[in-house]
Amino acid sequence: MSTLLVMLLCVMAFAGLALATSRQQRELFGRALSPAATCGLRASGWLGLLIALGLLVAGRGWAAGLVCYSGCTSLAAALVYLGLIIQARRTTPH
Amino acid sequence: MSTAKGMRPPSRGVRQKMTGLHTWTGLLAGWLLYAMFLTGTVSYFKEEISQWMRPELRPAQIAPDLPAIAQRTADTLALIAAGSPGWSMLLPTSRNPVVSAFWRDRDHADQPRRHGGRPFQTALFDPDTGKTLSARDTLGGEFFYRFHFQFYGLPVLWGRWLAGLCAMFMLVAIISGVIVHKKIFIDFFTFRWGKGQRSWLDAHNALSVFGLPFHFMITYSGLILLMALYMPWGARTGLRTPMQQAALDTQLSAYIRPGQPAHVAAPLAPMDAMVRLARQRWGSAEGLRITVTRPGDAAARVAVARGDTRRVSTSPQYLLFDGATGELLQVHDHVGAAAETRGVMAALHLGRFSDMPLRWLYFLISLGGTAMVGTGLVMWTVKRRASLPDPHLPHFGFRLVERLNISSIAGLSIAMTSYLWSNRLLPAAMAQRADAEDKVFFAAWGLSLLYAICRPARRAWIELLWTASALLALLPLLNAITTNRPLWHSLIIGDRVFAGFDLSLWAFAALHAMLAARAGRHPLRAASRAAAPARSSPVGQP
Amino acid sequence: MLARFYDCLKPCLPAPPPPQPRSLARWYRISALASRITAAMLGGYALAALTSIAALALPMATPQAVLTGMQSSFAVYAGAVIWVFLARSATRAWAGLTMVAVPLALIAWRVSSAQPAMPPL
Repeated sequence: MSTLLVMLLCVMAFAGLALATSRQQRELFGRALSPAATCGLRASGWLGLLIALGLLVAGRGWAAGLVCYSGCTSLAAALVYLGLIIQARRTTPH
Repeated sequence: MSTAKGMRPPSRGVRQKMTGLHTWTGLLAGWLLYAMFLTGTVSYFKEEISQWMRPELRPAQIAPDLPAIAQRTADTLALIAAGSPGWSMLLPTSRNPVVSAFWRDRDHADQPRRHGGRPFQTALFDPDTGKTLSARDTLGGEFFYRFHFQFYGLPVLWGRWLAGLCAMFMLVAIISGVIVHKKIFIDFFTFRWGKGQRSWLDAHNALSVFGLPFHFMITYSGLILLMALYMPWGARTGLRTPMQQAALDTQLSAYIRPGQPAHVAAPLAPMDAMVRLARQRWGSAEGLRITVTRPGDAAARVAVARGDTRRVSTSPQYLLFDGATGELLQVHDHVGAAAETRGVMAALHLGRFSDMPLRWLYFLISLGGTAMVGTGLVMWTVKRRASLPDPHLPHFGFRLVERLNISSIAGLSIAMTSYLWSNRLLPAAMAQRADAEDKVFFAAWGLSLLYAICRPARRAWIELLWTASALLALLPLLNAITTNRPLWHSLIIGDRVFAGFDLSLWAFAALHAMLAARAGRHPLRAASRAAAPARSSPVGQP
Repeated sequence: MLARFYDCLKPCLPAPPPPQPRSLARWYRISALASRITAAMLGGYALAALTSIAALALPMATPQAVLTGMQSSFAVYAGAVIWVFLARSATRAWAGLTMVAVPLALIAWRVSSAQPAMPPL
């Protein structure tokens, strides 16, 4: 179960990083967020990724932990990306 | 967006050339690569598949006493493999609950044949009694595994060379793809992706980008796994004498050559003591491989090699015992840097060290890789159809690619599912049963190709995908009818393997149904829509 | 059908020569492409093989050098293929491969002729 939680953490972290980009802010909120909010999102995104790495390595050792981390981040990034695409498709008139 | 020099997309000429290279390497090897990817994906669960395909064998419920299991099996092997120059047994793991062993026939003692060829006998053993188990003769999940890297059915060397060639094509496709889409990696969350009609390209790009670490690792490590076959030149040049060759071999595997027999009879020393020593040293006796040479002779040797379920390396670690006295002779527990690198690369590819969550990660990302290859193949036809002068009369090359796409993608799903169907339907007492199951696989694949040729392409896609979906969905039902381990029973008693397998079959059935429905919803309208962006934007990304 | 084949391949081909009779231009393109494919598939493999032998000259135990050579050879192979198709002409492609092959071949030849003197490990 803990792998699932770490995956969730990675998804949230990537979502934060995505939201910290001006393009996504424009698409999702219609305007750019304040520099403080952007900074905060980016910082918490990277922090989340770091914590995820720590949790996995603590639970599995460096070798298996790094492998699991690689898998979790790939899948999490893909899921966030998929979410953004679905969101964009829904709001764009065809 | 970004103006620094390193962030500019590659120049027109470079991108065009690399796009061409990517398209051609992807297309020529794509059908085989799809098969390698899909069979490789399911191979991450080959033990579970093997369990499902031998429903007569029920796993032991209690924690196994591995030293005792080893002793019991060794006693049985002393009887049934008497006279053999050596045998090798594999202790159970949590995912593989029976003991397996193979040994060279007495009559073929001198032939240096590889494991998997005819001169070897194999057997499964009950861990509780040590007696041989009889279950239906089947390769189980091993069939998909062997198809994955040597196209089982072809002569072994041909199959492995073909797999290696495909892997090189894949490696070049990956590198050329990265060069073309350099910009994606730099700002993928902000990249302008197409919408609607460009879904195939988007899907292919997304699957490629997000799985890139995995795809690159899997391809390169796959080549490394068989590198002794592909690049023997250094070994041939630098290691001339048998002693030098042996120095390399000990870096790669725990295989010990049978020495000269002493022609003095001596019973094998207690196996459980050796296993206990190994467990003490490595913390676990799971998945130990115990190889005995010259059993029953005074010159017997026993190599107890560490299993690969607990570490991210396949480099050999083993204890060498004197078979007659049980004395520990040598400890091999480290190899040189290059050998350890190879061991790690191999382990990353095989993923045997994974626990269940990580194994599912491997499976999902590998499945994404399969989809990456599949979307690439389909995308080729979608794009080319747009530039056909008459979409109803495509030229031969296009028709060829289209039919091969259908049979390699939809046909492969049908073939793999037919293999599982044959496991439940073929009589257990049949001769050459395992071979018959394999033949069903190939026959189903061949029939799909014929079907794909005879039907109009779009209908073939839809019908074959629905067929695959139906076969997958009905399989748990067939299982319920032909065995005493139906889904509801597995769910009630908490049999994760059988329940998980049946449920996964339904998940795959749903996936194929979705694809079939989607194929049905997109008539040639897709061709005219694809024509618009194809004319207005360049190949690749803006 | 052949024309469509070339349309697909155009990005890979070198710049066409000055105007010539159509059949000559077509043969030029075919032979240039065939040359590149040969360079990539066979020349690249040869380069990789040379690398795996030349690796024996590395300052490490022979089995480790053998394994290092084997493992790095595929990167060389892939790199050679990319180079062949990036080069501006088939001739340049071959020239590039040859330029890398010569020093590797020299090292490989030195290594293989020094073999009997090397101590077994």
